[in-house]
Amino acid sequence: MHLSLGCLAVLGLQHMGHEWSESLEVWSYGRAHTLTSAAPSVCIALAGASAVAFTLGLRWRLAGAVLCASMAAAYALAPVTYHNNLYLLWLLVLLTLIAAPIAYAPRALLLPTATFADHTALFPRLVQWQVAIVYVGSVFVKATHPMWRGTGGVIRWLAAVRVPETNQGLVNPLLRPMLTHRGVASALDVGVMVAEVIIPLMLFSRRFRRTGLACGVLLHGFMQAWLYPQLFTFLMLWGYYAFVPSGDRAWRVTYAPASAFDAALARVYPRLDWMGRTVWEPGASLTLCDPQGITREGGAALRWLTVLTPVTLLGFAALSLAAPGMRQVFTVPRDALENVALFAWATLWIPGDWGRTLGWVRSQPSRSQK
Amino acid sequence: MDAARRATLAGLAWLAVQFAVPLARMDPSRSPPFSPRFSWSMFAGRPLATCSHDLAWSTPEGERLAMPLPPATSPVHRILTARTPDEFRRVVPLLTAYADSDAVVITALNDLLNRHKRAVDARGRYVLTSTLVCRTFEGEMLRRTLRLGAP
Repeated sequence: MHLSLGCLAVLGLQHMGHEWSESLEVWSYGRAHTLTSAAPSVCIALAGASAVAFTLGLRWRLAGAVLCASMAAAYALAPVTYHNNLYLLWLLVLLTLIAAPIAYAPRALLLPTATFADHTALFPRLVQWQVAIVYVGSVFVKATHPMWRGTGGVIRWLAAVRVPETNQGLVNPLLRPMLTHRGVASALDVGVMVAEVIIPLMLFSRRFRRTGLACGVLLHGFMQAWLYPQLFTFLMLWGYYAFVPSGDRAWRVTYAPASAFDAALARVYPRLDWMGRTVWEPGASLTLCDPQGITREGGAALRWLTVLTPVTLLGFAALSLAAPGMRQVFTVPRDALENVALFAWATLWIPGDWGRTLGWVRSQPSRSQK
Repeated sequence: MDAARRATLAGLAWLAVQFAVPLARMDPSRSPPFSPRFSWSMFAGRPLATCSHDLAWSTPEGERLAMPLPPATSPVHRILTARTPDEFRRVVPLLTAYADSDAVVITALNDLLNRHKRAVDARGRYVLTSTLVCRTFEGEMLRRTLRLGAP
């Protein structure tokens, strides 16, 4: 989990560095001491450099300590640097420093034989509690806030005022008439609070964990597509990996060596399986057998493979956070592209939808068969 | 020490860390525009007022002059030239990111205007007058006038 958290730290810090640059410039303007006015930017740059070292495993504990210290210094120096996104990152890096196993080298993660602590070890346990604290804290705030508490006031304000000003996504224009409706907004308001209570309960329950994970992904996916909370979405979803076993090699994958697609997947995927959860063996077709013994084939196997590794989450995070100054890709708003990518991934979960396309791709013979 | 007590102590220590920064930021002696806002709910802030802002630069005798401004590429330039409610709403996040109260925005604006006045008029020969007229989300009217360098 270090490597994926490190990647999120790098992405998040460069995104925040960009987002805060103008605010820091305003804060620094006209201040008497150049040293004081430059200090917050220096702290953020130092945090970013430490995040890179932390990710690469170069004296990662020291790098993590410098990252945490420089972020704390930035919080203390400049008022504009405070936000839940980065605060959650700070807490998670601190947790990693305190509780994660000592041995960490990213190269080892890229080898298919790597093993990790299971989800009952201290570090994942603490991450689980951190995720729960965020949900409980969020519900507490909403329950005491006059514009939440079932009024739907915040949701109507977001749909009518805030979101049209801050992003160019596709979701708000489509859902705005519905979200500004008093009854719908109130129901959504209550629904969000209920979800934030039951999701952590389900995540801690062995029986309802998968349902909890699915509900959480839906909640954060919708929030990201509509409101773009950015790093917060990815850190919370990263935290979900602490609820599932890792290093158990309990997911068995078979693939058809004759298919070029399958052969490439079997070559690449084990290197992306940073949590050591799959075992690959040649067979007649692409199938995935989960720890409960349920077997999925073709597209169904593929869609589960996308969520077994945090690399998919990192890809989505990179799409959202990397190069933050680029708001348009050619003439298309980046926010809209992000919506389309998320929607395309979501359609993978509609049974049969991608089956025919995948069937055609998988029918192409591998080079050795040609 | 048994395992349960160690786990409890570790949990309590973690909770203390969790609230250390939010509590430190609530210190009322911090210079503006420090906001004590902390919430795990991203959108639990209060919708801010809709404001129009008027800035005047004049001699002590009341003769209006063009106000010296930083370069047009500077975000400070955007703030000082924001007049209409739409323009002003767009620059509020530059003044004080994640503000959740109109008071925080006004404090941040006053602080910036003081720094601007000092930066462009070290000898204190001119008068800067700022008039902010706002309608809050609840429909209340709010008016604040700031005069810097007035005799």
